[in-house]
Amino acid sequence: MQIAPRNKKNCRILFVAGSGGHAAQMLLLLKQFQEYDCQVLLEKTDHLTLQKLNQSDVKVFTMPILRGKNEILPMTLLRIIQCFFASFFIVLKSNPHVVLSTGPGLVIPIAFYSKLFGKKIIHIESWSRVNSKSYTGKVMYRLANIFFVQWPSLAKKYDGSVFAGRIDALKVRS
Amino acid sequence: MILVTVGTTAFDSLIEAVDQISIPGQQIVLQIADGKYIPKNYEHYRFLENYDQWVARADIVITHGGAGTLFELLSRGKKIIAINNFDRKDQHQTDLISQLAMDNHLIWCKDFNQLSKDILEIPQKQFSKYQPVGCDLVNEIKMFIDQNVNY
Repeated sequence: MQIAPRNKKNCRILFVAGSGGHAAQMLLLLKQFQEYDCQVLLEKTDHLTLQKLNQSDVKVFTMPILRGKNEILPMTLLRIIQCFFASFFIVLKSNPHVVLSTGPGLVIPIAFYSKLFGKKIIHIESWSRVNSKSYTGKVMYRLANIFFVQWPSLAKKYDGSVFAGRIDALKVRS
Repeated sequence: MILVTVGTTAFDSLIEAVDQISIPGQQIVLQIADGKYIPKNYEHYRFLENYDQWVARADIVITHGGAGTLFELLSRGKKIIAINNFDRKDQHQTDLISQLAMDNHLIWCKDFNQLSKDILEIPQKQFSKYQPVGCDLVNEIKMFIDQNVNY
């Protein structure tokens, strides 16, 4: 008996990319997932990445930054609440089958609601983490269905994590 | 020519340190991003247009520890002096730089007082070539989706 192959365009992936290096890794991955229905979540302040994505037909969500520079604690708390609030509506609106994170802090509230709504969560710890665990990584290790690291030395520190190479290799190929 | 880049995040103390160095006969060009310190002695830009061509021309690149910048420079076989961005709150850049320095792919400058010495010494230094590890991440993710996601 043969099962008809599924149309991958029916599978929606929400790439949670934040900004800077996390966004750079997302851009390299995104090219390899063209057969899927891809959406991207960025920080509102990452104009460079926003510009790059505006030329494609990928749907982009933006979120205000989670941590401001040198701000007082109550402001940070306020931002976190705001972020959780915004995340709820982003998950609702995007309604993805899969959340694919390249490691930014803003994935935490997204993953929280995604878990609640029974979405699958894939986390890729940043390529800049060789030996040290990030705060986001520690939280996502508990929330993600599969947890990738990009250095073998870090794989030893996360039981059950998967090392499958590093995203910088995709740049050479493309 | 020496190219100095802080990527997209300000790293004023590096720009200031380079601005105070004098190396006779060397052209120095700086990308300072949104930094507040404006160099007085050298050619500088917020963001270099034709960054790729500047990198191609550079004999030495002095850079912050951003992974994207480092992997790019390594894949192009540049001579690199890397400095972790002290001006950032989170200090994760040392994690990658220390590994790459240990594997002899670049010089890790931990102190601005060392910078001129590093610049003078780097032309004679032999580095080992950086080879990106094969990346099977895309296939692994697609396999996971195929086996675990109903759509």
